[in-house]
Amino acid sequence: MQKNSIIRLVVNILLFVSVLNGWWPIAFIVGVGGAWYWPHFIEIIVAGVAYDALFGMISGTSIHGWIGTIVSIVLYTVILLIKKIVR
Amino acid sequence: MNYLQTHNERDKSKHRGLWGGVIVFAVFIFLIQMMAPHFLPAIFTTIARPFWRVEFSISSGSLRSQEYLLNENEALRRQLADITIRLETNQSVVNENDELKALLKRPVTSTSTQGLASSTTVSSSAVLASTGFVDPLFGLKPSPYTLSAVLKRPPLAPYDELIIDIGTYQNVAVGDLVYASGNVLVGRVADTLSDTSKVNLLSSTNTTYDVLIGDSNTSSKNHSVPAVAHGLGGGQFSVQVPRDVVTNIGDIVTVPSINNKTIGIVGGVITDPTQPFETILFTSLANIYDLKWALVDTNTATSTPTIKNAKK
Repeated sequence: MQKNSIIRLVVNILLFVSVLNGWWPIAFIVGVGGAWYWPHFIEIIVAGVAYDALFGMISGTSIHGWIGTIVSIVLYTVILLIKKIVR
Repeated sequence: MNYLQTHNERDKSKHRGLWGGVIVFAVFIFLIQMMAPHFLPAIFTTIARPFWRVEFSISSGSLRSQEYLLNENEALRRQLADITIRLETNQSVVNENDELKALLKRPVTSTSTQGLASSTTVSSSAVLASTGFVDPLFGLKPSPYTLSAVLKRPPLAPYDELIIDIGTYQNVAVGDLVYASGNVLVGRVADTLSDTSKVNLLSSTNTTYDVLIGDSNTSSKNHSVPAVAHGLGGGQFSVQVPRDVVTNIGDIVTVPSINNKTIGIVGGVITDPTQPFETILFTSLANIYDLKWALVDTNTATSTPTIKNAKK
């Protein structure tokens, strides 16, 4: 249990650093991996929101600037659905 | 006979609650952004800014050895002396340009005069001198530009934008024009927080601008071809002009105005004999992937904007 928490903490740090630096491919892979491995990896959605808050979300614009949030929510729900089917 | 239950009611209600939670969270984020557009960016930027500053300092050479810094300092001093001599030569051309504009009864708005006359000028000469950043037009004179460090740039920063380390505290406003070294227009401020700003690059996709494609061998605007440039992202642009228009690789592209702000240089011409138009590809003169410093014209919002027809 403790080992699992440490792994999750390391993954969260990796996700945080990736988002902070705008390394979206790494954040994407880490997020998908985390969402697949853990039952409720809410961090992926927080990462998406943080990503857009840092680099997108310019007031007055439409969907442009919300890609991180949308992708993270879609990923989370899709992975949840797939897990429900295959497990 | 008893069978194992694969999905019970408890699981179903748990999943239903989770779905509801995700939807509520999404709506909550959306509402926050609608009511207070700077709330979330301000929180996350406050967290990220110290990390970005440290990263910028390291990449700028804060951890280099003393000997290396001394050698670099010496090389920069020599370079500065060389540039100062060139600047004096350029200044005579700028003066001549001003005189010609005055003769033609056009307002003298060349940047050198504007910079010296403006009362709201933010003097960045001290910063420029300390950083070794020398603008070819201003040298070390006071200018209307505010120097900023580029904290994030493409390709890692998404949405084809820069994040700079100055904001509303330094009088930066939405719409201010942003230049790279050499007075090259690269973008404009799209959003400002207290200490950081987001700069949309001119090359952002789905953005169009009116431009003039001029012969690099002539300075006359009569030889320039008006066209509409489309941003392709990453400092790349494309323009479609009639096939009869003669355009060569190396021609300069400017924003139409009396000041002729250069934004790029023609890098390729694609011609299809079956099409009446040819596509001109041009790139920004400044390498946006390598930008460390940017100059923000904090007077843009109060003066006539150079780019009038930017559409998104």
